[in-house]
Amino acid sequence: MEFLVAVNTLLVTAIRRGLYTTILASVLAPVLLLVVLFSLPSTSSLEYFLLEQERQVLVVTTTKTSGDCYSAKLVEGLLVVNTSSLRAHILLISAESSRVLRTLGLTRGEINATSSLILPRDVYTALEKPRVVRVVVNNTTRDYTVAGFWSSNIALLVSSEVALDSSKYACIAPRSRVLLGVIESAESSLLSTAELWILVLSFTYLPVIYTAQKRVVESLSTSLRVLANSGVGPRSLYFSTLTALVALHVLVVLYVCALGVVLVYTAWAALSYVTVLPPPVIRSHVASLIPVELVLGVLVALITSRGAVKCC
Amino acid sequence: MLLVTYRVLLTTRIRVFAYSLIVLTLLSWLSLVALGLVSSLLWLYEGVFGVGEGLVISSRGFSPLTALVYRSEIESRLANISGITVEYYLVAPVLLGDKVLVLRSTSSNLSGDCVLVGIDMARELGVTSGDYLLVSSLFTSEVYYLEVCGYTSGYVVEGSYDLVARIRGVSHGYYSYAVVRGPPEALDKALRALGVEPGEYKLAGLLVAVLSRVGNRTRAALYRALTEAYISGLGLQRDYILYFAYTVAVASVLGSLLLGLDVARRTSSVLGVFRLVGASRRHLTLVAVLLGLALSTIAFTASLLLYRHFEIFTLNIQGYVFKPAEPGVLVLVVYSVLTLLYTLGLALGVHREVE
Repeated sequence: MEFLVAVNTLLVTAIRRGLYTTILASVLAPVLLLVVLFSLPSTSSLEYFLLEQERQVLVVTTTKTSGDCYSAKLVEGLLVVNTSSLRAHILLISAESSRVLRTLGLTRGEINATSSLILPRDVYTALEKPRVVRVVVNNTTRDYTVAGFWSSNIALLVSSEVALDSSKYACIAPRSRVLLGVIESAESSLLSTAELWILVLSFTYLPVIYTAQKRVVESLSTSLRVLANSGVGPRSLYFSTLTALVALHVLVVLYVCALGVVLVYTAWAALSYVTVLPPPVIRSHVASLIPVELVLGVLVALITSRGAVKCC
Repeated sequence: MLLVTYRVLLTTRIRVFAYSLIVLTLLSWLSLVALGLVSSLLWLYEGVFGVGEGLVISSRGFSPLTALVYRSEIESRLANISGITVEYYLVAPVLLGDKVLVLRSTSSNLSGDCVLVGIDMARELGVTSGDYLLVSSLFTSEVYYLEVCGYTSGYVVEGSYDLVARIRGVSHGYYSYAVVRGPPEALDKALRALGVEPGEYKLAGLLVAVLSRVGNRTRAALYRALTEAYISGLGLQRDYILYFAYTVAVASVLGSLLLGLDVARRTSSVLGVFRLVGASRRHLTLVAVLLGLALSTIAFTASLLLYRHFEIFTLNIQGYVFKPAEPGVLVLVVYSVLTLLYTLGLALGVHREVE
């Protein structure tokens, strides 16, 4: 009961004397910047520009990324037609050839063979547009049906009959998805740098928060003395000051957070009159970094509350 | 008397001043970092392409990586202008796994599949001469084998024009951009030949003319930077981004006002002694202003040294590492605000304490 009365007295005095403005000034910059930086328009709004990018892209990766992924391997082999032979790099993909080639738009006709070969355009011409090519890879020879040609400088061999023990994958995904992935990765990199910057800024503001809280405790000295004279013990005085400071800190941080959100949307609404701007997106980083700001305030309050015991 | 007050204040409360100096330095450094990172983002394409001066001619598009200009059209427009050199480049974004690399045509003699990898890019990718890259074209859906034959500078991969054109999926004669270099008078003529008036734009440094076709007519719009020309198409104005960066930089040093007030409060006993020996309020406020100016200048200089020598904050976007840009005149914004706020806090605090 004594504790609650002390907390109530300190909070009412602090609010009546406008001491929350000191705390507000100390947390304004880190909290406001945190909300503003993590509410910038998302790059996913660029999706609009990528709508007509439905072309499929074949990407060779070491991990299974987005889209359909198949085991793949790049080998060096010999392409033989009658007496002519050419050395070429061949990308082997372990998959059903008709599915892969049709998705990539590399063939329009029906493919009945389980394995198909796509030749580089110059090789296709040099070998006099063959229908079947003998492929020699690692002393293994096999004939493959030529399904077409492409502009690349490697041959593409898609076969469901080859089992590849490879750590590489050939993934087929729409270009828009690949580009969005790239843009999102750039955004995530930007956000992680912003996160680090905000954290360093918050820690740099610790002395400023300390200064503000110390000033609040000093300004409450009269009330603290009255409480001490009324029989409130030093321990209770310490915890009631701590609670009052933490309550003020939490309220002010949440207030600045709300203020930031209002500011962001007001700025967006105002700018929308002069330019086409995607809407702001409040990211989850705000929810994860606001507790950090609160914890920092509590840590500082643990130290500054000692002043309450010393002064009385 | 002024000097004595100054010295006594500094020597008796050295800890207080040292502590505020450290905090001010950190705040100023963070402010510079924010400005520097935004500036480097605003020079994104210039950094990747290594374009720093001259008149860049490109066309309207999502980015200069997707824009195309026809060489013979530019040549015909610039045919009668003497004293200029024109370099043409074709660039194509290619995918290497989940990374996007910029492949650019070079005038160096490179055979078929040979490419030169930028030193920084090679370090990032962990490739050396003799290795190969299996890249995917974003335009043709095809996979290409590129042999690393050597190194070049920056974050690009350079190949022969034929190779880049094949990967970009364009026929001979198409380029992404042209760089025109020459004296200002010749650049002025070049701009007029493209159908634009230089207006308020200075014909020095970098200038970008973006061509767009409306019906049968070609129009050109002028910009101060390549990145500016393309982000404006996405609804982002360079000036607004800069204003935002200034706001962030100014907001991050707001705490210096409170620091100034705190320092004044902590020196109140010394100030009281000076008042007793007859120092006027104006005199003490003047000392506070001088102290504020000196401390904020020292803190700012220290932060500038930190900024130049410690690269803690970098942006790694698709393997391209952005370091905070050289601050240039932007530092004046940080210095002015830091000095103003800290000195104001100190002067107000001293004025109040003395009262």
